[in-house]
Amino acid sequence: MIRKKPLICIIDDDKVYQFMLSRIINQNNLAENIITFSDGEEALQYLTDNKANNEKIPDAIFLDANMPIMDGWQFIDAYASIKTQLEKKIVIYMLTSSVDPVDIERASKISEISDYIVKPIQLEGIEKIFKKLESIL
Amino acid sequence: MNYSIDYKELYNTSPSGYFCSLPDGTIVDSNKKFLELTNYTREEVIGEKNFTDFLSLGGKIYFENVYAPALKLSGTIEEINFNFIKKDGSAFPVLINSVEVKDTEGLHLFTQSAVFNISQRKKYEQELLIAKTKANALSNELKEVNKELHNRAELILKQKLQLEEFNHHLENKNRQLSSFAHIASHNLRAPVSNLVALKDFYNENIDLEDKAMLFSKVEIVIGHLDETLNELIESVKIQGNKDIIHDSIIFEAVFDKTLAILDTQILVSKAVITSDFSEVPIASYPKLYIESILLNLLSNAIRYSAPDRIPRIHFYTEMKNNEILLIAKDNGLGIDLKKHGHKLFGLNNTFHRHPDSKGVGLFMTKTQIEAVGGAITVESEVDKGTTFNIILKKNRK
Repeated sequence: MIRKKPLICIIDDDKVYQFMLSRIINQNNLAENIITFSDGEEALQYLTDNKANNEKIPDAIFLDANMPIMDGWQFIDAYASIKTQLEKKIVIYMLTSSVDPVDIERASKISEISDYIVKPIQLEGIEKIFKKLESIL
Repeated sequence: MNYSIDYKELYNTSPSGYFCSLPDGTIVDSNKKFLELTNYTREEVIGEKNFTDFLSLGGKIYFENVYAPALKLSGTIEEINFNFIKKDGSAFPVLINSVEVKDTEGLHLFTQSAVFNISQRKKYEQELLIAKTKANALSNELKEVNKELHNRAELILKQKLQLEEFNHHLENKNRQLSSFAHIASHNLRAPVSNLVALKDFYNENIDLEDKAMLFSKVEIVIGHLDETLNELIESVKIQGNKDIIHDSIIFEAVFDKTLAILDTQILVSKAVITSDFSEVPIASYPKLYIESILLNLLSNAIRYSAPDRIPRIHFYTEMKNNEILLIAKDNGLGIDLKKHGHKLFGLNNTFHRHPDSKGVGLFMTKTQIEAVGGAITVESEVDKGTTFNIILKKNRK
């Protein structure tokens, strides 16, 4: 049986990072499709607009912590209040260039966050995450 | 009870010495106590000794110049202090009371004198004097110590003030460092880690067209990095410039200059801009900073005006608690402070989807204000407007 590949969402204001992460995922054929947003508010709007349309709701979100307008932490707060309206359970990975221990501590305390990924991007780490992701989907 | 008094006995056993002398000083009678005090026998004294024989040279001079004339004048004299010389040549201090005895015609017959031994009292006096001298010395010493303590207290106070100043400075530096660390950890690490990843992509790739595309991404990141670094260097320059020269600035003039710079934007936005600097028209402040602060605040107010109404912007000064306040009020888009308040003044933080948003202005404005010892706070309501309050220089409490 052919397992369906996940729908991935990347939320990051850093367009270069968006490009690189998408490229790794595409080159390794890890996702069915990738949708990208430059800040939390755009992504939240998308989720709200498509909550009835399960096929458009991503399986996993790569969420940057530090963004303008609505940052990763604020997105998590907002997501927590709408997630009951979603049929799908979204796995969220917090992405950040920060090595600030305060940020890591903060992420580990939030139940919505499955894992914390420190930039820069590394193929190995991404492959590991997708293996784990496949097993829970 | 029958009781008779023997006056002769009383005279002899009296606790004070008595003697009787002729006007020329010859002693013609004395009691036993006087003989005991002077260690002479009766035979050696009566008719033999003169009052002045018992006196030292100094005593004799005093006798001639003070005692004798005073006695002659008033007929009586009390508590004259002499040193009486004993038979063995040693001396002891006495007080003499004398009275002249006269006949009915006023002729001086003889003088009666009482002699009180005041050796003990003199000793006490001596001791008191010594004690007093010691007390004086101690008092002086205490005064000295007190002065020294006072000096030290002053020095300590001065040092305390210096420490407070230093502490204040350190706190400031600490805040700057922590903000610097935050910037380094967020704003610098992101582009650098992108560069590292892009380099790996580039090296692993053989397709030339793809390599060129990757390199164009590298150029973008280098641009970000360069921008962030320049902003950081600029802010470090401001923070390091603690003793920047203060100019006498006229708010009105600086504001007019700002209006001229933003002429086009104001025209396009149709903003109504007013100002009132009458309460505090001038201040001492770095000219470069106040120009940059006014420019940032005014251009922000224009940039983030609400599209559905005429932008109204008002700048004014106030004196409050002995501090000069510069206030910038607008009726623009406003900022959700609950969401964004904590990073409003951070580097590269923007809160509006506006093409010109770079998130540098407020960071630099805050850096400049704090470098001079001031503070900036903000009040805002979404879709109502924003007010920035700037204290030029905070009072030291």
